[in-house]
Amino acid sequence: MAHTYDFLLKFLITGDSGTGKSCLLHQFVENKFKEGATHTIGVEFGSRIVTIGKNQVKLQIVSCDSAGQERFRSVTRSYYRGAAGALLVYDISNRNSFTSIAKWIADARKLAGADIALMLVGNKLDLEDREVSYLEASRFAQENEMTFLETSALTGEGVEETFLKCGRAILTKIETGQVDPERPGSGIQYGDSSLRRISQKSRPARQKSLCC
Amino acid sequence: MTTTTSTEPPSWPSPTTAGSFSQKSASISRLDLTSSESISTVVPISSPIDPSAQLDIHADPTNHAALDLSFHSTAVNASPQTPHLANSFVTATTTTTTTMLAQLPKPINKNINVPLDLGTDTVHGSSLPPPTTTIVSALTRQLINASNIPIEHSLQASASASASAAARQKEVIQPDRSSFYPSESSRIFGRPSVDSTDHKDTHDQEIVSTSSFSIEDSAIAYTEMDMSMTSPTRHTKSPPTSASSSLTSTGRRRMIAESSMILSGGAGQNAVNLGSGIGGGALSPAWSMTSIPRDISANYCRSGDDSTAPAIAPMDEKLYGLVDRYGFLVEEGRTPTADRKNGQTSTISSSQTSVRGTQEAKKQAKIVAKEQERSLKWARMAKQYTSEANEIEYSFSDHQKFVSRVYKGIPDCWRAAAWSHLITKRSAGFDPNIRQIYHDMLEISSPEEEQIDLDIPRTMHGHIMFRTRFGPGQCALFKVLKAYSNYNNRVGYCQGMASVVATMLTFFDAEKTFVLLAQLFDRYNINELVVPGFPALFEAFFIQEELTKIYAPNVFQALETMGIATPSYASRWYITLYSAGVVPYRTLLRIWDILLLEGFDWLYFMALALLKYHEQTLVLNNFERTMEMLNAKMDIQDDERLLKIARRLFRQAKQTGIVAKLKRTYAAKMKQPA
Repeated sequence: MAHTYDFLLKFLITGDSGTGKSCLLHQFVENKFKEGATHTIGVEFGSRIVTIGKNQVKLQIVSCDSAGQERFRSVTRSYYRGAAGALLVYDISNRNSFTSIAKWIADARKLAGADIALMLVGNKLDLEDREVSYLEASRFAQENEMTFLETSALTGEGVEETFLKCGRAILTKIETGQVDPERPGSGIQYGDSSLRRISQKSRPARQKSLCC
Repeated sequence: MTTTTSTEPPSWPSPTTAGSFSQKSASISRLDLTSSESISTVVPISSPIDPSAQLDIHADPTNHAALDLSFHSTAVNASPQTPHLANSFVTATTTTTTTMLAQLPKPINKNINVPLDLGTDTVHGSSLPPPTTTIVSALTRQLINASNIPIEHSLQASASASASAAARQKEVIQPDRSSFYPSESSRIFGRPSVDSTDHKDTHDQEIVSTSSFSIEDSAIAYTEMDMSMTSPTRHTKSPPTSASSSLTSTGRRRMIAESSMILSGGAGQNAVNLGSGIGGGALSPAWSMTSIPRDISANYCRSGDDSTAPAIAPMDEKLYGLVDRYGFLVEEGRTPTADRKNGQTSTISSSQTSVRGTQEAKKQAKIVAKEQERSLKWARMAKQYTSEANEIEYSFSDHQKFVSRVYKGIPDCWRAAAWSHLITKRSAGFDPNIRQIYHDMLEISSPEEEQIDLDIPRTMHGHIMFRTRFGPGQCALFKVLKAYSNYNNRVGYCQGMASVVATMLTFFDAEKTFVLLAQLFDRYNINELVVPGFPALFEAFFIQEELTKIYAPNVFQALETMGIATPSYASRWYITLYSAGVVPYRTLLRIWDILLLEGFDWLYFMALALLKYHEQTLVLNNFERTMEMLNAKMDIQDDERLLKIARRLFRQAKQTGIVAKLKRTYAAKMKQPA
């Protein structure tokens, strides 16, 4: 039997090549580290239902792995549309991947709208040769109005929290009216159980195009 | 994202494993891999001439089927420092195992095609005619060609062993390829070098009867094994089931795994030939790291200098007991259902009932017999010639029979030859200097190196060849990709190419892979698929959608309803030519067989067939399930059905010329201002 949920939130994971995007996704959805990962061409897809506050929230996550290579950005741009939140991932042991975060922010805000909830994620916390300090990244996140967390997709540290935080941020935006879930392409949908509750509202269209 | 190989502790086989295994009188060779000292001295890749290794091959006169291939590095049996080796069975380290497993079986594979397998021995024994002269000679040449053994030696050896007069007639001296790779043969067979510094322990060894081992010996040994394998009388004494039933599951799994490696058309040839791409540092300037200043290149171009060789963690012994017939590691306790059909999978858990085992054995016997029959047909169909690059190649007529046989699936042992033929045939007039270009391109550093380096550890990681960081497989992969990115600036390196190249590398050496890759990408229009902007990719999406509308309206409707756009799943299909874990590997090989025969358009129909194959799931309109299915490795249980669908649609479309029409429509659409 399918699980019911109140909201469906669409997330995007993006960032430079090799920062561990699909491992993060895998760790969150499957609760284990993805052994022998391959670099995915196109997208990877996963979903999980979590409880945020009183709400059952389904997180539908698309990881654009090949966005890491410049030439693929034309293909993967379309995925931004219809995303409620984006995790911008860099590798704490690779300075370059942190430097290009600015580029990813610009892309996300431009393509998904200024309202998109952005999370800065420093992945590979398990590695010892850190090149980006927590303080620096945290400051950078503040300047760009993002939430910041460090994670390890290998050990699972911080992974769950990251997705939950991002989900919470979006729910807050809905509550404060900053985001209108009814707007097409908001990346937010009412789920089955909320449909029953909010009967006065017109039934939102079933899952709209994820991309393109 | 860390690689997992480096952390695994060595695991030595238990005595029971070894005991049960050595009892067998089955058809496969027993590999005794013993290496107790630093790997770098054993691994051919890092040391062109292995100073301490000895390969001891002797055919057991009483049982032709049992052949011991013992590979010793230093002290072995009763050596006090290495008590765990007392039973002289398998201990091996990552690279040793990989290369040995892959190298040794290869000539066997080349010589005898398929006839060796478990529990199916009678089938082979009775159904296989003694090798005809032509096959022997043809296959011997292929063996020589593939393993770079100086030809006169091997031919002699094989001729004397098989006592075939006709084969002897063919004993012409071919241009000696070993001059190009002088140390090749010695590395292949682990011939000890005279000035070895590490022989201190050899006198302790009770096992080693032949401390010096020559190439001729090895070739004879192989041929003898060949004869014993194919001899119709060899199984009269032992019933076919005895081999499998008397073994413990572990032993059996080992056997299967090893026979799988032997059977594997790809892995074997490849690793031997890899030597041509790696290791010969002193011979070819292209491999010497001094000419390549960049760090990334240097990691992949270690050449013979042991001190710089990367530390390779010893591989868990069970790993190579768990590879399927194509060299992919299979998780313990999990039989890949998709691969079970074609037999020769490595995991047969002890919990499975014997009834099931017998059925499976019968099934395998059938498959093997069929493949064997096909191999012989292919052998009759093949014409051998020497290419301009002094490689033994095979050509096939364009007869309808050839086409239909390609559609049926090229036998594993003929796949490399057939692919090479198909690509070369399309590439008439291609740059004749392409081989030299490869070596020139390796000298230049490429701006794509960083990205290539990032992608290599996550390319075909499940394959035993590509597991080891900076191991031979990864090095070859790096070189081909780097050379190609320099060769074709317009394409450079596109993510996804790595798995295409890796797949080719399981069949060809690095140089040959580059040559074929250049031709394939040029003559099959694949460059347009991966060039920035992806023109052919977007065209493919359009054509695929239109074709789906016509041929699979239900699927089209379902995808529309779910709002799943073609690029969200099909980018990977096209860009990697289905090679990045889209379908099981054996299915991929079948797809490529026909791709190389028919050309780019086949890709559209493959996509269509994959959707149609999963139509029942798709029409459920379950968005998540569909997305997960389309973006993961698809479970293809029935290759024949899938390919039948694709072929039928492809034929229909050929008659109506729909693809050409759609291409024109797309071109017109592109010309219109947005």
